[in-house]
Amino acid sequence: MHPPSPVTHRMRRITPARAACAAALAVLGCTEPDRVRIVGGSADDPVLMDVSRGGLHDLDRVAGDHAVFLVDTEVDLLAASTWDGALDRAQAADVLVGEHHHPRTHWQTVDGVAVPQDFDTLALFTAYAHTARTLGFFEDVGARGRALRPVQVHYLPDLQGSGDIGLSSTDNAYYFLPGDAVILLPPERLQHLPLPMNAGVVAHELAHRLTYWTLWDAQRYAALDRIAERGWQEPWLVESAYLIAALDEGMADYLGAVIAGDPAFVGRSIPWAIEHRDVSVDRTYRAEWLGTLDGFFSGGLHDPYKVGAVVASALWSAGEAIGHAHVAEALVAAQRALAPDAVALRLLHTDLEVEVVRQLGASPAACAAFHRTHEEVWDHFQEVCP
Amino acid sequence: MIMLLAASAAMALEFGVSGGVAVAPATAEVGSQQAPSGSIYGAMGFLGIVRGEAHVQYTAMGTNGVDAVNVSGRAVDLRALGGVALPVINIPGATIGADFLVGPDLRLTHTSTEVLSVTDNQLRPSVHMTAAVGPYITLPLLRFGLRGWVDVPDQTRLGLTAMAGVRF
Repeated sequence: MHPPSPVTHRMRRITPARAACAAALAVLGCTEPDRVRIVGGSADDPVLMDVSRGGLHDLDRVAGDHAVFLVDTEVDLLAASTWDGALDRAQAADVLVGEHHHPRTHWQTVDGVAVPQDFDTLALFTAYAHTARTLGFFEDVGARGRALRPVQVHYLPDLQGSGDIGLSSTDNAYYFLPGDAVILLPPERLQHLPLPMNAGVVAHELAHRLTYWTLWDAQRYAALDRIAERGWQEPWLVESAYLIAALDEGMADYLGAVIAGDPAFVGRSIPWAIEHRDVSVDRTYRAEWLGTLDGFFSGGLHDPYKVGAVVASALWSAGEAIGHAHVAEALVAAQRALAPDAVALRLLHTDLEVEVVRQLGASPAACAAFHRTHEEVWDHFQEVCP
Repeated sequence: MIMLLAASAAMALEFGVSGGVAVAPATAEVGSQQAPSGSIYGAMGFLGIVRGEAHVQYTAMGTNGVDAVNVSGRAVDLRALGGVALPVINIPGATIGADFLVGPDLRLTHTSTEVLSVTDNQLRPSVHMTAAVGPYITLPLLRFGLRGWVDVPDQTRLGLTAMAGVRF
C-alpha cells in the first residue's frame, strides 16, 4: 500500500476561459445547489422556504443520509397482515416489497437553491426535509439504533390487498412495519396540506418506527403471534396489545405535533380529524376503561385514538409546562424501560404515563400536567406523585 | 457546373407553424409526462440541402397538485437549428426527404408554486443542445414535416412535432 499523498488536490490555474465558463454556469443555474425549496413552517401556516440539503446527496433520485425515496413500488399488504414473528426486523421486506424504482425529479437551480418544477418533486423534497429533521430530533432526545437509520419511503406505491384488510390505498400515510418503510399515498379526496408536506404526518409515521424499534424491541409480530396461540385463554394479552396500539397512536400524534409545531397538525391535512386528534384539547382518562376493552372501541369499531388521544393530550400538556424536548426525552426513555413488558404483553393501563413522569423526575409540574388528564385513575400515579 | 452555380444562388425562405408534444420522464412513476407544445419558425435553405431554422416554441406543462398546494409550469424555447435536408425522392412537383438538424436551445422556464393562495413565481433560463430528425415533403409553395427531437443534457426532453410552412 502506498502512503497517501500529502497533496490531494492541485490548484487549477484560473484562465479567462475557465472564469467565463464558471460565470456562465452560475448565471445559467448549472451549479450544484446547497439548499432545496420545500413547504415548511408550521403545519397551520405552511410556506415555501429554502433549507439546507440535510444530507440529500442525490437530488434527482431523492436519496440521502436519512432517507431513500422510491416510486412505483408494489407492496403486498395481504401477506404482511399475518401475525408471524418472521415478519419482525424487516426480515421479509424483500418478499413484501416488490419491484420499485427511483424517482426522477424535475428541478432547477436558482441562486443556489434547487427549486422543484412539479408537484411531486416539491412533495419529495419536502418529505425528505421533514424526515431528516424528525430523525435529528429523535436522536437529540435519546433514540438510538435502527430507529435512526436511513428509512425507505415509498411514494405513491401500489398497495396490493389493501381492500381485503380494510386499508385505504389513497389519502393516507402508513409506517409499513414489516418493510421498515414509510408509505405516502396519493391524494384523492384530500385537498388540504398534502400528507408528505405535513411535517407532523411524516413525524407521526416515523414515531411508529421509533416505537417499533424501542418499545416493541422489534418483536411486535412475535408478540402478536402469542395472542394467536394463547390469547383466548389469556385475554389480558389482547388488552395489552390493544393498549400498546393506542399508545402507539397517542405517542405518534404527540411527537408529530412537536415536530410540526402545531397540536392540530392532523387536521391541517385531514379536516374531519381535527376534532378528535388535536392534542391540545383537554381529555380525560376514564376509570371505566380499566380491565375492559371499552377504551379501544367506538361504535363497535376499533378506535386506537380513544385512549391514544388522552395520552397525546397528557404528553402535550406536560410538554407545554416542562418543555417538549424534556417530555420527548422522557418518552423515549420510558419506551426503552418498558420494552420487556411490551414484548411480553404485560403493559397495563397508565404504565407508560407513570414511567414518563418517573423519567421526568416526578416533578410537581409533570405530576400536575398528568393529573389533569388522569384524575380518574390518579391512584396509579401515587407511587411517583405522592 | 452551370447547374451547381444555379443551385447555389437559390436561397429558399420559409415560415411556418408546428405543433406537437414534449415528453419528459415522469417524476413519481415509470413512464413519462407529456405536455403540448407549439412553435412558430422561420427557415432558410441553401444549395438545395443546407437548412437553417429558428424556432420560438411554447410548452404548457400544466398544473398538478391539490387545492392547497399546486405547481404549474410553462416554457419558451428559443432554438436555432442547422443541418441538412436530404432529398430522397423527387417526383414531379414534390420532393420527399429527411431533415437532420442540430443546434442550441435557450429555454426560459416559468414555474409557479402556490401554497395556500400565496404564489411564488420563478423564471429561469437554461441552455440545451437540440437534435432533430424527421421526414419532410416539399410542394411548390408548401413544406410539411414530422420531427422527432431531443434536448440534452440537463432535464432531458423528447418531442414529436408536425410542421407546416409556406415557402417563398
